Amino acid sequence: MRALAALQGGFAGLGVAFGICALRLGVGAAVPSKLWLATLVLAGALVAAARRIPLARCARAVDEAVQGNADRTLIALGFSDGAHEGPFVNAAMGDAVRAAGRVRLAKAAPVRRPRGIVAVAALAASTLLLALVPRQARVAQAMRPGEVSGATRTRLDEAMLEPDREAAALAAKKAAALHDGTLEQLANEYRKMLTALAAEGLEPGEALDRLAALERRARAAADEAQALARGMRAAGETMSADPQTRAAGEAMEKLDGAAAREAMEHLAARAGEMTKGERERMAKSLERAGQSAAAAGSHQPGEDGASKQEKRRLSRNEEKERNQDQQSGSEAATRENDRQLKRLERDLDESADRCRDDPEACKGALDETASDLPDMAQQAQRSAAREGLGRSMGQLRERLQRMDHGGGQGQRQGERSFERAAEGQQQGSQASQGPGGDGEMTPGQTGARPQHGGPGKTGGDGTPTASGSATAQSTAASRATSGGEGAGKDPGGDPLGARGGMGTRGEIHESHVRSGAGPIRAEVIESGAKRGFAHTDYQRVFDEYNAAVEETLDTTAVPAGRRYIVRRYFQLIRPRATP
Amino acid sequence: MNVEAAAAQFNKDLATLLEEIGRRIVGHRPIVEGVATALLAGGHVLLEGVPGLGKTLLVRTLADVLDLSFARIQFTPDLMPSDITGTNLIVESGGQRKFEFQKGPIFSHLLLADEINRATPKTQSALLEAMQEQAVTIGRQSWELPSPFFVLATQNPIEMEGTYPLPEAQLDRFFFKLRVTSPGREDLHAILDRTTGAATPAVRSVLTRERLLEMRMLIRQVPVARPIQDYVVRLIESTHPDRSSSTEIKKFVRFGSSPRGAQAVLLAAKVGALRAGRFSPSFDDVRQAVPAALRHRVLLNFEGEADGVSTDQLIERLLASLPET
Repeated sequence: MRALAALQGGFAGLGVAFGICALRLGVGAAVPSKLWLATLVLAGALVAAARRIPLARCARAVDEAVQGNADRTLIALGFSDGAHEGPFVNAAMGDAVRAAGRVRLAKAAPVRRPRGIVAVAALAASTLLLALVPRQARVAQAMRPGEVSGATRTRLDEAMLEPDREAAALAAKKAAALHDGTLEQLANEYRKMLTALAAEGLEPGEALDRLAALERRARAAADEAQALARGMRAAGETMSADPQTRAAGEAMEKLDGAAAREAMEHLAARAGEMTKGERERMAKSLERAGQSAAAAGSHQPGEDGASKQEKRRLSRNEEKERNQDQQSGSEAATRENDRQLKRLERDLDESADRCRDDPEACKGALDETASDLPDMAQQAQRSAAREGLGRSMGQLRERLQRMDHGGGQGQRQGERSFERAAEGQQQGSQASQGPGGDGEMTPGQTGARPQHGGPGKTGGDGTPTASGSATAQSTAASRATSGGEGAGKDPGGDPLGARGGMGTRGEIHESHVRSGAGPIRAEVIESGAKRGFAHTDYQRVFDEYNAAVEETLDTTAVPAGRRYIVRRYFQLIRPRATP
Repeated sequence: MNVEAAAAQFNKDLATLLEEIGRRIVGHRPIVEGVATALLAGGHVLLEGVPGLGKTLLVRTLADVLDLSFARIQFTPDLMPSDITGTNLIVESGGQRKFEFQKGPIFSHLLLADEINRATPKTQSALLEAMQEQAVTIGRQSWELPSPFFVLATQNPIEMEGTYPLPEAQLDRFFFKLRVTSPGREDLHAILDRTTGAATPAVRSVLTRERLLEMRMLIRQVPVARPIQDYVVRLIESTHPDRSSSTEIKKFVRFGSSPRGAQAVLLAAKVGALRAGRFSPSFDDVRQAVPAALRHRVLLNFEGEADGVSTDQLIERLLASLPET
């Protein structure tokens, strides 16, 4: 058994010798001398032969060599520890000795093929191969210059940067329109950085740092007038609820200063003709708008929503830097915007008070408010534009971070396939767009401005769920908003309601129509075609959805990978400029 | 007498016993050997099989060849514990009335508890307690059961209606659980030849009670080498799902064998060694004993029952996978 162990040890030494040779050949070093290798083999054999062979293994070998020995040797070995005594133990040991006499050594320790022969053969083959292949060729292949340094730079395809370029261009355009130097500077720097990323690429750390700094500046700049923008929107939303102030309210909601001024001036012009009740109603609307502006301006959703998320995203140092930036650069601007917001509140409150007193004072106050609105709107628009640019920067930063964390080529491929899939889907949906709409229709509406229903703007071939009879009783109800119960049975008439006069001021009627089948789809389409389908600007829809998505992503624990996919999707379906 | 001679005599007597039983019982050699092993090791046997396979005949034959007293109890749902153990009755003696204990059928050397799962748990417990304690206690008085005391219980695995399956704790009191299967074609021919003819095969008493007790004592003297005992210990440990490395055991077993299982395995292995003319059990002796000793001690969980896994299969795979040393 010792001889076998020595053989096995020598074989292991041979394997080690081949391994060393292969290694040295691989790195281009000289192969050790034959004597050295022979010493290794010999040392392996000697060490293995000198090692203690467990007696239990010898006993098992003897038992296996004798047919029907039934573990006699191992059992006798077990009794040899002295723990057992007695005639039975003696008998068992004697029995084992007798059985061991029948053992043939060749059977107990047969010459076997050494273990690991395949591994040693593989090592030998590798060594031979390495010895045959010229070393210079291997070195040349391994040391191809330039590849390593170029691969580490962060570089993005032009196509991947297209949405970001568009965002930068849009920001520059808005900056020119709004006379916003800060935004213009940010947009220019962003554009330069995008060009650098697409052309020669940037070091990963450098790209992220520069982008994070830009994003911080954009968001800090957006924060300057954010309260004002929120206040204006909130005031506009409140005013939109009242028919008298709706036009001005809607313009304020859109931060459209010129339209808001015009609507407010129109309101001022009409103040003299208004009854006391109408003025009172208007005053209430303005008063509520002032309160809404104050509430929205003081409430900072960023504190409990987006900003918290942002704070988590940015490191503590970054946050500190950002605060420093804010303190040093934009304190004055923030104060100015706060002053503007207070002025808006005051204007609306004063207008409300004056309108309650007398028409002339009301007119003056409304005119004054109107004159202030364009400046305020412009400030608020600046904030929105800066915020948009900052968001685009944040999205790019997330993409770069993902590439750093194991993205790379696979990431880019994934993005491309995702993009292709999204485009394919778009094409598919366009192809399957059929006539008609998917909107639900309210029956019995015959006014000139149907408030509900109408076919959807896009989509497949939706079926109107109900429709009213053309002979509905509400012939004069130009503002009828309530629908009838059930569906009309008779086929006649215009399901969307006949064209009505805009100026009529009828009373609200409840329409009663009979139940039954509504108009067929063709009739609905025909009716819609006469008047034009309901239409909402895609840009507006997109902005609303995108804002909702951003808010959700900021306030919800969406995994980073999914967050990226959602944002990328919205980038892909963004409105594009018509050629 | 030296141990070689004692072992040889043991071997000869056991062979004679089995041969004599074989004169009346056709086939069922593993069952007969299992029963003999349990009898010699001092344990009780649970026989599982459908009716008509010769279980009762086997016990009766055993009683005949051993020259021991024999009793049979047919377990039914209305059987009371006192019907087994006996009860105190009022008897008149010398003009005086007094209570006197009337021994029940349990006071015999060999007891056949036929269809043990038909009696209520209360009655089953009375028998199983007596099996464990080797004594019956009525009131404040205890009566020792005769020695050797050997119970051979049977149960029918297919008729489960109106039965009370033995609880796991009581199953553990049986040394072996043997499964009696239907005889093969040749055995059936032999059975028909022997039992439908004019003459019924007779058996003679080949072992006395005293000799049986001596053989039992001899078995207890057989030593076990540490590697073998270690194998048994590892084997028993491996039947426990929380200690086993076998994924099947972890998946399908609820409880593993108790230490009583290890005792049964080792004692049966000792009998096996003596039967083979050796003085200490080997790994093979252990492996031979394991299925009968552990199949009622390894309890399957719901998943095992639902998947139709059998304990025998699990034990077989465990034996195949567990290294000897």
